[in-house]
Amino acid sequence: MEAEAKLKVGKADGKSFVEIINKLVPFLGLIIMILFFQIAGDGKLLTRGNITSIINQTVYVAIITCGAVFVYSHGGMDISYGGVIGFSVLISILVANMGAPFIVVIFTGIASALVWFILNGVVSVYLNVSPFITSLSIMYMCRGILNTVCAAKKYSVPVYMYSYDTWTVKLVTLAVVYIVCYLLFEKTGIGKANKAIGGNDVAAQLAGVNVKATRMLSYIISGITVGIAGIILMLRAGSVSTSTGQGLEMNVITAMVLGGVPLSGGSRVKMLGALIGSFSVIILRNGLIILGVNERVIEGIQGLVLLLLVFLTYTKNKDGILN
Amino acid sequence: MSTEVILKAENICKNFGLTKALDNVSINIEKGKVIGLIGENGSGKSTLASIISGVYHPTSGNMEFQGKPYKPSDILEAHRNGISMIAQEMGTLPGIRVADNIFLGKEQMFSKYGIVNRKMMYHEAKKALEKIGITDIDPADFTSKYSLEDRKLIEVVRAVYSDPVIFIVDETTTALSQRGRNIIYKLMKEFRDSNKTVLFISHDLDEIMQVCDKLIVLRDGVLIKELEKEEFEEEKIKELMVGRKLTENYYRNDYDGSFDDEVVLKADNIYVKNALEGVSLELHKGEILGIGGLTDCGMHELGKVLFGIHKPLYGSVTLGNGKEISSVKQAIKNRIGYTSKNRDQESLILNASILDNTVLPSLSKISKGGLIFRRMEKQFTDRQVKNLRIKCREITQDVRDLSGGNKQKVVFGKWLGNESEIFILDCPTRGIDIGVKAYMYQLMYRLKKEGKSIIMISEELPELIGMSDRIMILSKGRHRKTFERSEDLSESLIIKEML
Repeated sequence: MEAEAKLKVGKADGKSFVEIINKLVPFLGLIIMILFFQIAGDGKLLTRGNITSIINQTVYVAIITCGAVFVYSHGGMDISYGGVIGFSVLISILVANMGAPFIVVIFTGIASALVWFILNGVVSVYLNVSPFITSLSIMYMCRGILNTVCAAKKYSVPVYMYSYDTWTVKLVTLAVVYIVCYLLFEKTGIGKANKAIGGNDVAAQLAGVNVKATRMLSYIISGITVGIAGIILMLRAGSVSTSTGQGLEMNVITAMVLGGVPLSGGSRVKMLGALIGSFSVIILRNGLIILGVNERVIEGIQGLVLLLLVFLTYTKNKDGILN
Repeated sequence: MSTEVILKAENICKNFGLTKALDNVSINIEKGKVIGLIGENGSGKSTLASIISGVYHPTSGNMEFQGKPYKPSDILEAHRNGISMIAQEMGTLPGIRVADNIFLGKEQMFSKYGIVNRKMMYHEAKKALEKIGITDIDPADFTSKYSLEDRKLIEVVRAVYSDPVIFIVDETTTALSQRGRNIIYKLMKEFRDSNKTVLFISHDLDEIMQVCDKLIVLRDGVLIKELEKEEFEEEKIKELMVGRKLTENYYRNDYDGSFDDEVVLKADNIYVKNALEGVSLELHKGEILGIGGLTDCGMHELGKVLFGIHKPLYGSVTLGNGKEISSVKQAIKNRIGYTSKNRDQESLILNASILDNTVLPSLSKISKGGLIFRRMEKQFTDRQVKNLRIKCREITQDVRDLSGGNKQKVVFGKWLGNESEIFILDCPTRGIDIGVKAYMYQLMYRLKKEGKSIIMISEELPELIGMSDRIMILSKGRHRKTFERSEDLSESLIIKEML
């Protein structure tokens, strides 16, 4: 009996130790990256100027990733972030230049991103088209519009808007978006339903979850966060061009993976991962620039890192299934 | 009959992480016998079969096959050696044709200069199907056209086509109706008669006692006893499996089939395409209503209609107060709970914790001001885990790692926690070992005494007879007959109505 009891205790300890490590991996990754780049880059990473630049980039990536978590947690996907944010910034600037008040600009920006996500939601949820195809098409449609409109002329924000590009605006917006998303995802039925669908949609449905409505709502939440991020991006960049938002989808997906969010969804998705991962991906890119790595090479490295991480989490899952 | 040993396993140990699935198991498998491997869930019987068939490698220990050391590196190697298995959960590929499934990996048999002669392949597949007595499966059809049962039989054909020396059948019969079972029993007999060996794993004690010549009993990964045919005795085997005397009665032991007059759930003239043709029923307060029949008699479909999963073409499901049930959400709101026959696919999220699974239908109940707090979720789950005596390390553990019985307890916990008044249980004891089974029966009886109502859909006549106040028998989508609870009710009486 005593031996058996000991075995049980040992088991429990072993399990929770592994679990704790698993939970800590995203944090450890971030800390190790900061230390590495700080030392290898002769202290250039954590200078006032560079921290500003890191936070500037992280804010809008993090806001989008917070919303993206809803979609990915139920097993959905979206790769239209970059295109849609470009479209949203374009519309916002056009409306702002017509003399609309700032609050109207904000709502237009959010609405113009939301429209695309509602389209993606309707097509993939209710018409059963793969969300990959839908969002790929949407990305191209947005890019097409952006390329057409911005080809001849560059559009800039009205001068008064420069005064809104402040720390308070950015950090408060991020904080509010994160807290709202955190509460919705971790503390209400919406997030729980999403995770349940990601785990097993039939079982979720038989437990009373409205699967389609939940999936649709996720796309709506994600669309709103993309719109909000669009406003932040517009204030910082001050203008829109054909390259606005390019490659953003890759940063969002890498952020989730670096934050420990399984891309297949399910119960292991955590909102905190979105925040940590967003910092990680920006610091990874920023650190490589400090080390003098060419921007184009960085893209290659990011692709490799993403593949490696997905591969590592994949083998872990397989192990779980074998047990 | 010769008793020559064909396969010898010595001191087999298998660890999964910290769990010891097999601990120093040594067995001899003889030629010309049907050998039953029996034990509760988690006893290691499937693991042992998987090691013999090359799915797993033992952590330590040796095997000897036909007098030579045997160490298969994978299923294919075992297969080449003449050991093939039909597994509990492995399946056929639905997207390809029946013949392709039967000859998966052996296509070169029919190929000339790299081109597969499909006509020859179909012909050969048809012969193989007919050999075991299946005539209604066309090898040129897509596999997805056939029912789960037929697909299982296609798998059987694939396994026996190569004429194995040892044929391992792992829990296959739980998924089959009487017809499918008969086909497998017949096959087993043929194997034995041609001096080959069958290793048969099943939960069904009656079944295993009938078809086996020898039994190997495992418990907690340890070999408990080997029994020869003349030593078979139901009570004794049960004791060996569970490791204690089963003092309580298995089923309820009263023959008082009474219940309240109050109707709590009513189905009126339900039609479902290809499944039900005008079935009506009334469930009363405090009643256990058994529903039986052959697998495809429409009873599983009826359960789905009652819970609002499928909408009938015609007819309605209403509560005692006249409210209509037309969606799962409504059913749950009106305190109906449902356990699916396919537990792992439809009732549980395997990669989520016991907690996540248990609270899912009751989220609105435990939220405060729209927010759900971890502490409340834990209290809620703890109560169910204690109440149902769910064996687990912690409530945040994945459901995947639990045994079949404990998984089913989690499903019950979901609905008990949601304060269900009506339980629709589709094969509630399928794939569950006797220890937990007995517990489930007690629980159902307790619920009845508390005034809850239960519909138990089952393919096992003994449990229908043992537990129900009334038994409705369906046949080909129609209500055939209702039996009242009585001491004189026998299986043969009911079977007559099922066919």
